[in-house]
Amino acid sequence: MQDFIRSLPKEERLTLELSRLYEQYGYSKYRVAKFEDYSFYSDNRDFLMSDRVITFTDSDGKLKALKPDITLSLVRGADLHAEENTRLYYNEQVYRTPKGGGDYREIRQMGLEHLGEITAYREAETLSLALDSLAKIDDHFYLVLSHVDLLTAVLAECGQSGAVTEELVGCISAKNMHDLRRICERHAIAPDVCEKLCTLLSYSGKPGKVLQALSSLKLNETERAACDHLARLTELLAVNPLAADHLILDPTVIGNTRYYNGILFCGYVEKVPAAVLSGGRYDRLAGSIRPGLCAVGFAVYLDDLNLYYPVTPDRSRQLVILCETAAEDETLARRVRALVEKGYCVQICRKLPAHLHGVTVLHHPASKEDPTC
Amino acid sequence: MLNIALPKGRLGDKVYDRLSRIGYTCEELYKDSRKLIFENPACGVRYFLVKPSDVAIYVFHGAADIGIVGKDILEEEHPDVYELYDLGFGACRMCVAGPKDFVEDRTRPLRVATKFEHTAKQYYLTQNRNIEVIKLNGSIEIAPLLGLSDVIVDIVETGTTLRENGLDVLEVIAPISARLIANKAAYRFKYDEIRLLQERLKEPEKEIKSTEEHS
Repeated sequence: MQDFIRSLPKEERLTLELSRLYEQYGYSKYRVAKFEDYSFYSDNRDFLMSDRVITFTDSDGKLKALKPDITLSLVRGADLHAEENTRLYYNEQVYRTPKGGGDYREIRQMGLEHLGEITAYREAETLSLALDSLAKIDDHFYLVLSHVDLLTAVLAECGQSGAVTEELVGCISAKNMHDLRRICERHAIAPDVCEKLCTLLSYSGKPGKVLQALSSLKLNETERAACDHLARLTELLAVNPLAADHLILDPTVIGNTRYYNGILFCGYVEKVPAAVLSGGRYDRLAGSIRPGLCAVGFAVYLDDLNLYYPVTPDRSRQLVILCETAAEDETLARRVRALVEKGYCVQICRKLPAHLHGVTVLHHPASKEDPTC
Repeated sequence: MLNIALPKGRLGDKVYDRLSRIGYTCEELYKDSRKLIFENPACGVRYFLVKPSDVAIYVFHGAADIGIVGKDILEEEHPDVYELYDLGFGACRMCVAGPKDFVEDRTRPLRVATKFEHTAKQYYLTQNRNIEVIKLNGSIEIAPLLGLSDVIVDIVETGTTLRENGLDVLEVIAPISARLIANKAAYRFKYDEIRLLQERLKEPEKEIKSTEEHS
């Protein structure tokens, strides 16, 4: 069975491994319908990665949409219990245009959501599961952690309009210090605030080092609280040995601030050129659908993993039996069954297909030299 | 090994010149004009020569770890990459240009001919101005002369081409120069190498500045 699991495409293998991992931590599988009323997404457009959704008209004339996001549907549909938190994981397809544009794609993602009272311990557990999830994809990975409040508080100190703040956010998320300075100069942003932004932008590294550097800055109460929270999480995360080498603090990770509040994180593995995991604390989204609800979670993007982690089929256990139609008899069936029971993968062919070159070829009826007889 | 996407042409030559001066040499580069990949394991560098407008695509998809690209292309394409450093050269401006005596008719949408469709739309959006974009791929300057458009949005370096075609800069949208960009995943896994290159890139700039100050 282990050989079989190892031979599966990366995406399928990971699905099994992550399901097991999440169930071990008390998460239950949640199924979401493939489509929802379009009005649900149009009402919550601010929380979507892209405002383009695939729509169709149902038999009753109602406009429906193929789901572009899981979290929205899950938060709305989850069965919540007042006395205890709800832990759910999913393995679903979403339909949206990829980041950077292009045609619609069916994107497979797996993820978990923790709904209810979210303490630092529970956030740390989510981060720990994110580390474990990345470790199951590749030995070489990084989980990059940030805190939305840290940057938004510094941005608030700039005292600029939405459009300028958006420009500043663009520079921060691109680590673009040169244009950030120009914007600050153009809009007469106080030099000390500009310097604080530039300093945050230049920090990226192991949590201890970055937190120490942050502590030397002149931080206001909100910014200090965000740093203290990150420090507490890294203490709790020390229980997971992966955190020591694979956790990075980088304040420039800033996502959709209408969606996230508090911690925000994304994960990278060496062979994939984009983040394969993203998540964070999203009370704003959860609370807009179910007032007062807090939540934290993440998604793992399984889509491109088969491309970057191709599985080479194990030819040593593959057999092709070349056989004419007239020779397809009970002895062939018995022979195939015996070989399968020995652990071989067996195909009956008239002649060897091109894609199976390299596998062991047998003939039926068998010759005396046949080693599997 | 750092994989670097270099733009083919004048900008690429300048960039390679700068990189080779700070230790990222690859002697076979440009020796064989048909070859597009060059490697120097001793310096830990592999160069790809690509079309300038494709540099960001190579970097975004991780085929190259870093690349050098004009800000005009970054503004137009908005690739999800890090923009780490402004190299300062290849300096020019993204401008609105039109006939010298141009008077805008505000009762109808402005017709704008450009290669930079997104940049033009974004700029006029900030000006609350309705426009009709006419996408062209070259010889943009003749569009107003032939009545195809009212104005153009294009890169202006010295302004000679504009002047020779009876046009003038009407508005400056943004300054443009060559930028060092990095793939977001590569930045994590090749952090030390990328940061070292970034720091070294700043060094000759200082030297040049100090030479200028003394001259």
